Amino acid sequence: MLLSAVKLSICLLATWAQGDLTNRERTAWTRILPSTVVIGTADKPQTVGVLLDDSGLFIAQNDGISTDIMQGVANGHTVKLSRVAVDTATGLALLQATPWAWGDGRPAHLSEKSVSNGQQLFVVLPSGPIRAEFVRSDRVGVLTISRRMFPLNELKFESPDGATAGGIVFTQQGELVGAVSATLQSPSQNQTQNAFDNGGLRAIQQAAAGNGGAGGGVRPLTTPQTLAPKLAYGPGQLTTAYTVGLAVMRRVVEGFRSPTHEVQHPSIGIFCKDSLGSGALVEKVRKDGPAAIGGMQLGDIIQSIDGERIKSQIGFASTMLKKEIGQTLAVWVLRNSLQVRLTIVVGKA
Amino acid sequence: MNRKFEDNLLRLAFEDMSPQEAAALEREALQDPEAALALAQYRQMRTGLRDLAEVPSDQLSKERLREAILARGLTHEAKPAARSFGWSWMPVMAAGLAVLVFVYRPHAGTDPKIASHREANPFTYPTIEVPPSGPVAMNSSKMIETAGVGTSSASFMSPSVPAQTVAIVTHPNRNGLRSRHQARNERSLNGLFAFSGTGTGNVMESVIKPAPSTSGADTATMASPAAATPPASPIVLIGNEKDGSTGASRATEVDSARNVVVGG
Repeated sequence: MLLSAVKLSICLLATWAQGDLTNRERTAWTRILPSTVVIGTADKPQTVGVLLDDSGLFIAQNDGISTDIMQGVANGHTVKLSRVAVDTATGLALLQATPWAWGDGRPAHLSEKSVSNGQQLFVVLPSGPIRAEFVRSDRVGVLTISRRMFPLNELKFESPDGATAGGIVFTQQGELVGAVSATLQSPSQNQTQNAFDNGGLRAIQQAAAGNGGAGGGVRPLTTPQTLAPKLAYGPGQLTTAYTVGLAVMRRVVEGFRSPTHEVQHPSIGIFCKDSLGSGALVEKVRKDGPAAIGGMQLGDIIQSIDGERIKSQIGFASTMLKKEIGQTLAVWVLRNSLQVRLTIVVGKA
Repeated sequence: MNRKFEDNLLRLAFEDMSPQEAAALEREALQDPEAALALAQYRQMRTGLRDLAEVPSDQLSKERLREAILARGLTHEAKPAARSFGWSWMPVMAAGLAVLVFVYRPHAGTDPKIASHREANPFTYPTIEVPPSGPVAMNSSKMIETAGVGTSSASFMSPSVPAQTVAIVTHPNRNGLRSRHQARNERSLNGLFAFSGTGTGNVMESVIKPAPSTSGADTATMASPAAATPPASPIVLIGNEKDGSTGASRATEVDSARNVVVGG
């Protein structure tokens, strides 16, 4: 066991020693390394977590955690990780490392200011840190497991050999930005890269066939996917990754750090879709939820909340993200061509 | 009649001689018809000249008009002109104001203004200004129970204090006038729902029946009528399946979010 831990640590340090990072990034990485935990075995690392407080609480993407109790390596020591809480809305999990007696790691500090487009970041993956570039922060995403909409940060980095699931994103100053929730491969980039790979491979095969003389001709490409990476050169394929926005990430971190470890997202307990006109069409109303208590019904079209006009279900979700639990809302809905005013107290999801 | 006698007749007509000379000359002129005619013409001329001297005040010459303008100025003449302008344009201004009120009247989707002191206390019936679409009646809306909810992993907690609700009922067809916004939403609703009421009366007379839909909790997208809808901004759907190369959840960009069900 100890051998595995040392092996994994050496692997991480070897990546760091490759010289892929700038001096500033190395400094930040040296400071962050004791605060990270690689979840999984040495042979099969699954994801990465980062320390939230001195008691050994780590935050990680729940996708890479298969069981409630996992094994991990933190600061060169093997620890047992038990899942304490899960925020289903964002897919982030809180893990408790035991035993936790090593005080070298400092809890991660969430970035206070928003990240600007084009800013250099680095992502801590199970295979080590890798440089990334922040692309944009104006994307919105919907997690199908929770049907919750969140603002997303989009970043790109060169695709590593290993998995990128659950990578923890930091600024070059070592401040926490988020965790990789999902990845998207751009079709255009893949097509370009594949065209280059296949063309280069075909040229080499044609040359080989020409040198062989007899008969000439091009042999069919049987396994270009496995051969192409070996023949390609230059920048590798880019991976587009998403993390939840900083404001939502801050809410999750604060919830996990609270005594109850509960993350509270504002909600009135409904599901909406886009209305054919303007507004959000109520598709489901949770029984005994705040909206049901307030009188909202199926088929209502939400038109405004506290004077803010609602144009679609995305607008509704964006507006709800800005509300506080316990806040009283004046909601105007269109019901049977009639305007109805509802008073709804924001609950939590 | 010589010239001297003619000059004497002229002096006689203009009373420019003594009475004795005038009486003698007049007797002499009456004996000569030509001299009498000349005397009468001279007297008529004198009378005409007297009339010319007494020019009426409203018959001003250019010189007198110029002097009057220089002496009095034009400021005093502006007042009656302004009063005339205001009275003549008053109906035009009233018509323009009516057009503005008609164009910028509140639509059906906007909130009526609510008294702030009432807004601070949501558990009382609010004071509401009547929307332009028609009169207002107040009713307590009913609580509803919905089936088939609860498959989501998110858990909801009810607020500790139940909120009273107030339903505002409007009559959209009053005077046969409806806003375009209201009519559009009505058409949209008619495409989705079947109403048991006529749609023209009180809301309490109508029962909303949701159209049959798929299980929204298990699918990210739901079928919708193929009616034309405004384009929505692209969003990223993060699914449950894992990407084979990265091991992370697979994200998909969709051009339109109109069929995406979102919770909140």
